[in-house]
Amino acid sequence: MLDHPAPKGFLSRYVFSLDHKVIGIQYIVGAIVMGLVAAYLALLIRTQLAWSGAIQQPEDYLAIVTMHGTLMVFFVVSPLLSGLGNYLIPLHIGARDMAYPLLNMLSFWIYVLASVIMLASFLMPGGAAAGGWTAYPPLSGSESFLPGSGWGQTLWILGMALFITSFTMGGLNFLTTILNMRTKGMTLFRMPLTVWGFLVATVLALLAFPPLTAAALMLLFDRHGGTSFFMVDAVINDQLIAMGDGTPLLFQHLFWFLGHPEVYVIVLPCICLLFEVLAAFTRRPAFGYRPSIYALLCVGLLSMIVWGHHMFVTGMNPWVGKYFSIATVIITAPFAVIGVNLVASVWRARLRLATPMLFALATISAIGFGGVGGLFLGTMTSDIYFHDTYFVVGHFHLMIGTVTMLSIMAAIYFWFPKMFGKMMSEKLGKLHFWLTAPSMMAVFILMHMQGLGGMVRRTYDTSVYTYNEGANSSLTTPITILAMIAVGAQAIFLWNFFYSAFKGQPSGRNPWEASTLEWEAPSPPPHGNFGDELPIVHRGPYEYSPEGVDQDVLPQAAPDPDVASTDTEIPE
Amino acid sequence: MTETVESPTAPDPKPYQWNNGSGPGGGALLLIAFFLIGTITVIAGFMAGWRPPAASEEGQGIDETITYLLVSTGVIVLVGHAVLCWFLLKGGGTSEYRRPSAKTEWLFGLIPVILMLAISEAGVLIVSGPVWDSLFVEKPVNPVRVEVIGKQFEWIVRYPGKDGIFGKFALKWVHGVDNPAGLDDTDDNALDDVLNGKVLVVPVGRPVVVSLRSHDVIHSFFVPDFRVKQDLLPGYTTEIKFTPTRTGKFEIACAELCGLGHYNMRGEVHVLPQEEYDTWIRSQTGHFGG
Amino acid sequence: MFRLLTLFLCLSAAALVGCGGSDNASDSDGCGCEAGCGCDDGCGCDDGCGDDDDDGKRAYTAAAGTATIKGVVNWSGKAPRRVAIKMGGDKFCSTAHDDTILSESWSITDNKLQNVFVQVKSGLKGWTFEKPKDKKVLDQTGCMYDPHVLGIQTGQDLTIRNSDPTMHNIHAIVFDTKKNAFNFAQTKQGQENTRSFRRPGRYYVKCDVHGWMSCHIIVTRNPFHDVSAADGSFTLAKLPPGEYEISAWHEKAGTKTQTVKVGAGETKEIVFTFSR
Repeated sequence: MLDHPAPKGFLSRYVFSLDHKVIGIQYIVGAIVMGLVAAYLALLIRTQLAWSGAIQQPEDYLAIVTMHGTLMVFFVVSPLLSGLGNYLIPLHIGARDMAYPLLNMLSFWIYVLASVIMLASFLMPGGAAAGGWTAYPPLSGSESFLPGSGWGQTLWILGMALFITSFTMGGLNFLTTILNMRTKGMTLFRMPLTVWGFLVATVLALLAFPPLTAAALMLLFDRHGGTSFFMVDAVINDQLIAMGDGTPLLFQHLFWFLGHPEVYVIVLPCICLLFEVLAAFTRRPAFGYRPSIYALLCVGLLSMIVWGHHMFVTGMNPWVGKYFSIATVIITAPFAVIGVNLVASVWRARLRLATPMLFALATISAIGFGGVGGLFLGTMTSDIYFHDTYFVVGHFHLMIGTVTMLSIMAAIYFWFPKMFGKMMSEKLGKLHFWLTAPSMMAVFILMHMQGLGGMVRRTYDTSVYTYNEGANSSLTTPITILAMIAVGAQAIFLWNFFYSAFKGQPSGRNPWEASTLEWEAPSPPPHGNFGDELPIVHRGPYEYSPEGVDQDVLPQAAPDPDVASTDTEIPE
Repeated sequence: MTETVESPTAPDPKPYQWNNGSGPGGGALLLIAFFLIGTITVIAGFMAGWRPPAASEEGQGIDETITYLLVSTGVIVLVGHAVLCWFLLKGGGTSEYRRPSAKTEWLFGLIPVILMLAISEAGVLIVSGPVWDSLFVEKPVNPVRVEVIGKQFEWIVRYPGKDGIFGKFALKWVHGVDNPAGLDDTDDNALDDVLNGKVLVVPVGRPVVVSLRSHDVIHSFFVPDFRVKQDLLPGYTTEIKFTPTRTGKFEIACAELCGLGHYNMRGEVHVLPQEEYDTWIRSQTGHFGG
Repeated sequence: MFRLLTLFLCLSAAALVGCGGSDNASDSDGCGCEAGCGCDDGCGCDDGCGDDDDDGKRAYTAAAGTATIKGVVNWSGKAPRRVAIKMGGDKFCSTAHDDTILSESWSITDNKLQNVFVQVKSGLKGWTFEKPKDKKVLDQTGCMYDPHVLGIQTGQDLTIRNSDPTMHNIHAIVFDTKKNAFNFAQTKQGQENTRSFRRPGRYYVKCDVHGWMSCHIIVTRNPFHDVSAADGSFTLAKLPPGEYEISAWHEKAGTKTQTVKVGAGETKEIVFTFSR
């Protein structure tokens, strides 16, 4: 069984828990809290842009923009996935817990600590870090350049370093668990695609995060230790400030060596879990299971060697730029495979249009728009124009904002019954969907259009430029109103989530009649997940509408209906 | 979070009543409408003239790339959504269902790979390659050479003056309005260098090569009408080239976050006919009176 | 295990508090004068030094000040060339002036040097000065600072106003240490912010958006300072009788000092002459 006993007291059960399920839910709740902060910051940004009243100063605005980006990418979406992964991976592969329960708990609490330090950035004199979520030095290197680059930036670096520590702990845990703790019969090619998504994402994260740690520490040394990795002599108020003779480009390389794979770390699990939701609600197997996996591996591989497409206009050697462009757009090919498979999964469906399915279908649409937007930015010459405009803002918000949020919503609605043994309200869920998905997608697609008009991002007041008059600025207020709707609609979700967790309709073991292992466990699963015996896996994950069998679905753990289960060949 | 202790095989206490609806249903129709109307609106919106009209040869090349991508990806998105909607419309419990064979699945993996590789690499190599080369690789013919310095939060434009040679500079000599570009006042080549504040004056129809350097942090020189953008890196000198195709006043924006005045780092490009430009540049005196 | 975790949390919290607590350097109090009394030009810290071992402190009142030192700052020789400011490219500034604006760093009319900061550099040992109630004003108008040189007492409120319908940022550094003093933006016409200085010294202020905009703020411990007007004149009024070292500082021409003795009710006239 498990090497840690069932918890006795409240503290060890719900706070310092070693149970992957509790830690998973802790992560999700923690991310929801940080998400509320980050969403509030988003509204502040939009308010400033639409009604440029003297609410914020430019220095405040930049701090808000920076913290919104940092929190959303690293403290909301990433931990949401850590939470889902924590919850789902052992249940999906038939394990009793994660490989390292203590590391798992530490990982969560270090995330909490990192969040506190990151938020404390706001309390520092000079305000929170304001050099953008990319924190490019020299701007982020000295408070002479920007008030927020004082202690606010130092805390930002410390918060990031701690977050990376936490994420690396989680990643090691994911990887070890997936590779070593699968139950009998669960071969790699019988794993649900969600687990595959987490597997690839984890490997990417473990490879990509160390350079950012290095970059963050080097920046810390530059700021407080007198080194000059990234800093260059500068003139401030007509005074020459000796800062050294470093190279700011190095930071960008290190940052994007993480930054680009990080996008896939976030997006891949989100895309993969769609297959699972689609299969359950179309009552058909996910289309192209193996091609999807190979496409996934290709995307993962390619994502490590294309970081330079964030740097086409930094003055890199033009041949390097060309290489990065050629390599970048290759990613569209495996991505197209995944996209086609997602769409084809709906083919001839026996459609059950429940809330998770609505979110999943809208996510496919968002992947479509977000994906083709990537072509505009990956192609080198069009990126010269689009770089650092709202086109970029719209694009990455569509991919790592909309795709992830809609997909995670699908996941939460889908696995909520497993987590709490209760159903979420379908009525509220559908209302939530119809308010969220259209408004969110509209917000970010309209931003693409502003980018097409050349509007520069991270600007406090766009009316300084004459070319923004007319088309560009006409969109600003509508975007803000739509963003308010999108954020406001989350109140419905929060109510639904917390109310249903306590008062929801009991769900039973397998409310969606789904096929994967987690539905074999009771809802919520007890300590150790499965009963005395771990389930044995007999087939692939999506055996809906099996041929030659008069049955709607063949769960992974169910014995073969025709032949006696003892005869079935079980790969070790 | 009550923990129910039961064995996995125990019957569900109160199974959630699952509705096996048939037909697409209102929700699906709503979703279809959302997808189709949304997609068509978006594509139409993108095709409408959002971009300021291109005013440089390189900009026209970049516009061609953008148009190529808009058309090709527009078709992809439209077809993808149409297919998805078709599936949703048909989805309603057809009993005749045959699993797609592994061969079909691999075929549907191969087709998008070939299609997307063709579309995207054609965009990079055939459509955008020549523009990229003309910007960064090919040597410009008879160019106008100008230097633009970025500092928090303004542009300083420098011309080489009558001798056609840029004088020496160093950051330690920078001082406010007296010597904003940090010119060496003992260098003869620097004495006649012309500084023109935030206004870049260039002739029409000739390639302009702008050397870019920064006094403090990273900036980005962006002229939306010309479609060109190039970062300014402290410690480095970068270059950007453009060939204006019509006269007029255009705006320079800073595209890389450079501090609290980033949004206000505005400059202007004045494109003049060659004769007017010649007259103008002859009328300028050097910053140090040379 | 839980003990380990608690320890970890405590340590991190302590580190956090330590970081927050140790930081005072970023606000407007980092004058280089604290290091010693060796401040040269324009720094009014001499009378503040050594106060600690002087027991005979007297609070200054207006009644005690009956003496006056008046004077004029002359320029000898050819006036240096003034650079014309090019405001083109800025939507507002370029239209704010009809005629050409010249750099203010040399402002000489009829051989009289403007913008010279005159102050009592020493001779006030023993006096203590209250924080004045009136405010000083630094205005930004027509994309220029008004005044170009501003004297202010420690603790005295400085109102910084933006009279332009464009954005200015006010970026002040402590001149000697080049450390940041404050840096903030005023985006709206009529926006006002107040700052004060805790330590005496010279602060160099610039607007980064309009590189030609610069001004000097000189913070002193006593109220006896003035900036020479366009006719070169200055007045140090309501001084207590005594012997004073008077310094005159100009941003380009440097510092000159002379010693003056004034009796009660007396008015002395002095002349400073600068040249290249």
